[in-house]
Amino acid sequence: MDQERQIDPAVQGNRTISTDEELLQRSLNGDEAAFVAIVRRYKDPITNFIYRFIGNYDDAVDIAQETFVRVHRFGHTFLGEVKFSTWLYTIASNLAKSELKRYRRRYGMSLADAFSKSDDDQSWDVPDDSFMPDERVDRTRIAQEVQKALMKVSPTYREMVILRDVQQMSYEEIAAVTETEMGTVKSRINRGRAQLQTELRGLYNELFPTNDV
Amino acid sequence: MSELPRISAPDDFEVAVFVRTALSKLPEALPPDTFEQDVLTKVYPPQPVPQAAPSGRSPWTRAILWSAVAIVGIGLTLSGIAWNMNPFGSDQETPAEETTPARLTSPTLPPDALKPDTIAAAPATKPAPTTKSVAKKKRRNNGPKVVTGY
Repeated sequence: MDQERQIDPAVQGNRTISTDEELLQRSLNGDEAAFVAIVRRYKDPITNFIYRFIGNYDDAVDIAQETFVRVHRFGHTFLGEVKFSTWLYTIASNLAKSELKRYRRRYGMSLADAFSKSDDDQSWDVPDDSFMPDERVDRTRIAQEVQKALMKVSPTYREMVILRDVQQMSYEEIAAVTETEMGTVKSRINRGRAQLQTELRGLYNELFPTNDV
Repeated sequence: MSELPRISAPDDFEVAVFVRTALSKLPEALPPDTFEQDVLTKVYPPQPVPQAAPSGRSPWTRAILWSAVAIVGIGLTLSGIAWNMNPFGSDQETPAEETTPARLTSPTLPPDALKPDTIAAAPATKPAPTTKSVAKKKRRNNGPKVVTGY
């Protein structure tokens, strides 16, 4: 990385933050720093979305990188009909779904079954809770259980629940990303949440017994 | 004034809130520090460093070729040594060179030296002693014979 890349390329020059679309256009014109700015702006939410969707961190990082490579390669096909972030999430979502299909073909089982057998893939965010206060232990355990439950929800519902409740997207954005009707989005989110509730009811009752108050 | 029916929350309301809260509080899965660099490497692959005088051959091919050259060189050297050590090898060619008449090859003779006239006019020279005459001379110079046994 050269010296120019050390500074946030999005705020160079007149100190105004460029829009995503401006950065993409500059990137298409050969401005490498503009492309770096796009990567820096979206690498965290994209990686997080893909990880929550497929449940494997290494694969999620790989798919996130591939997402940005596609942006660079096919940026000229972005016509501005939707927001750049919507277009970016669509690419990431399609790549993640392809990975799920590939995984199912390769191993003949769902990701939920695979990850329920080995917790190593999920242990990256829970390094060691032996000396944590109770509250933190609970929080990390809840995160683990929620991720496990997410992997048991069907991918069609899971994607939309993550976009809505984890990535905090609007229904309109989700409809655009998934190229689905708004009504379908809402019903799928509700069904996904219902499946999650079924999966997590036991944990809730364990953490908050009815005679506890 | 009619009383409106009391609407209560569904049974699983608390669990639903718990799930949505838990989803929103999930720790963010951050990419590794090398993420940007990895993406840039994929997008802008490093240019190959030009190397001096590429031969186009693989290292294995080159090694085999050099080995063959070395074997041939060693073979030639050994055969040369063996040839020089052979006492017959070098002597066989020498007589062939000596059988060539000196006067035919000598550059000191003029081109017409072999003509009959020239030979006749040439000054008389003492002929070289033959083998017989040399033997007689030797016999004469040998001194008295020693007779033993009488």
